[in-house]
Amino acid sequence: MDRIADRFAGRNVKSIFLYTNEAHPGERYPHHRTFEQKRRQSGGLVEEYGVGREIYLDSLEGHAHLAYGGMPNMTWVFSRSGLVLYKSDWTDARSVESAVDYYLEVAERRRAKQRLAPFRVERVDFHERNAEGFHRGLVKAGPKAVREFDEAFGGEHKA
Amino acid sequence: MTTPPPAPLSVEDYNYDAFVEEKFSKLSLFDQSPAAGEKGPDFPIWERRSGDSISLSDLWRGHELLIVEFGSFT
Repeated sequence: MDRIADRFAGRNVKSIFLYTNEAHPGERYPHHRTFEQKRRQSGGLVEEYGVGREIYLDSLEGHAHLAYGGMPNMTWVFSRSGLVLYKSDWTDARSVESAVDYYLEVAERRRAKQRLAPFRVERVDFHERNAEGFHRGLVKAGPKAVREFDEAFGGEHKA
Repeated sequence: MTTPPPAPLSVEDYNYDAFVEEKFSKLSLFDQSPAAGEKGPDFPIWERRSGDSISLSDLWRGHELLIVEFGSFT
C-alpha cells in the first residue's frame, strides 16, 4: 500500500493508515485500555513494518472503524466531496490500485467535459494468501495471538 | 464537525482482550456500512505523533481521492 501511495501522491491522492483496535491481541501488543497505549502501539507499524504513510488513530471506542464496518484490514476510497467510491472488507494493493487508476481516469474525462453519470457496481476481487507472513505477524504480537488464532481456525492460517 | 454518535460497542467490547469468535464477531458490521455512492460519515481522527485532531472530511476535501486503510499492528 505504501507503493501505491507513493505512485499516486503526485496526483493529489492522499493515503493514510487509520489505526484501529488490535485484531489479534498478544503479549507484546495487548488490547488497548487507554488512548496513549493505542498511540504507543501504533508506532510498531513504523518500527517493525516500515509503514511510510501518515498514521492516524481512531478513537479508543472505534467510532470511525465501526461505522465503516469494523473489519480488521479494510480499505475505503473517498472522493473530494466525501462520497464512498470504493470499499473493500480486505486490503489488497492491486485491487485498490486498479480502482484508483479508474477514478483518476474518470476525473480526467470530467475535466475533458465528458458527461458522466454514476452507477453502482459490486464485484469480488482476489488477494494472494500469505500464510507465512500472516503467521510472522502473529508471532510478533506474542504467543497468545498465535494460540488464539490457531484455536479459532484450527491451526489453518488463512490470510 | 458535530460530535459523533455513541459508538455501538463499549470500549471493552471493541478492544476485546482475546481473539475468540464471540468477541471479534461483534465487530463484523461491514454489511451495515455505508454503500458505495453514499456520503461517508465524518469522524475526528488523531495524527499519531503530534496527537493533533483532524477530521476525515478535512482530508477528503483537499484531495482528488482519499485512500484510508484501516488496521493495526496485529
